[in-house]
Amino acid sequence: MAAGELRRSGRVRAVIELLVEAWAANAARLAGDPDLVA
Amino acid sequence: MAIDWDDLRYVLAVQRAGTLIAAARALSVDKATVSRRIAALEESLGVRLFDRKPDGYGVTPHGEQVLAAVTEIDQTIATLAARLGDQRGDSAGVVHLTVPQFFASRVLFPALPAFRARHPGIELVVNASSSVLNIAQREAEVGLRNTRPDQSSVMVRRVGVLGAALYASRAYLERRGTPATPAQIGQHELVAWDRAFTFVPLFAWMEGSGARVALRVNDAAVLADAVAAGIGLGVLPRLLGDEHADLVRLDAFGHSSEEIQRWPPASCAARAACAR
Repeated sequence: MAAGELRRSGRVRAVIELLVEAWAANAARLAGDPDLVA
Repeated sequence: MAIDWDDLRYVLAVQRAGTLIAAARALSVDKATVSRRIAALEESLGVRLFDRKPDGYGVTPHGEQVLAAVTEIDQTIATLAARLGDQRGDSAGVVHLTVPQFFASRVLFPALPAFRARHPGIELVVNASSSVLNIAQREAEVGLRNTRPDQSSVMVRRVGVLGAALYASRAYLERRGTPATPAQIGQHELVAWDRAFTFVPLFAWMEGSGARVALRVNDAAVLADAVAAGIGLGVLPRLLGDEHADLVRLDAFGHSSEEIQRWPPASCAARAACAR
């Protein structure tokens, strides 16, 4: 994850958190290969 | 029993990410820090929260109890933050978001009911596209892409690794045979990405493989359907390729990280971006 905080409005921050959390919840499926996750 | 509350974030990150290194990425720390903080919490609590396995961390029954409590705390804090944002007046309104179509349907939409409950004032407008939009010029406010935008006015946050591999349909392989070496790829037909996307290294290798491009498309889900129809070989996100009943992953060259580095269909970092 790139350094630095995203400083946009609350709603934009909320949508970015949505993307980050949705990705994290599906990280294994998205990476596909345990070697890539690990 | 003295618990460092901050350690609880590490438990949640490991459970969500599945591995130490993925949790470390999510928290922007190194793997050793995650390991140390988990161990410290386990020592404070006097119980093991995770079983260390070769393929990742498995949650123990004690870990399940801790995770239930931590998840509740996490949701309470998120709700509080959203409420405070509402009171500031900047947490309601329209947000224009662009994500690839497959990510929207397979990953984003299942997460939206919980998001809507937490942020009822946010109206999302989703542009399901892989095109490179100009976030700096507000063609979208937030975007998810597998390349870093070149505009300095855009803020970028890495969200994870997108695995990819080479796929073909069973019918295609029966008709044309299975390539066993990179050189043999040159004797095959390819379903390739539109040239506008070949700046992505993951897709660029196809251009030099010597294979004949039978079709170019601009969307991963469409590419999966084209490969499944037997038009040619294609590089797809593992999420799409592995979960498509008609597709065969061509693993002739192995799938360890080192092997993948030598074999082009590999992975790339996906990033969320918004204007500064």
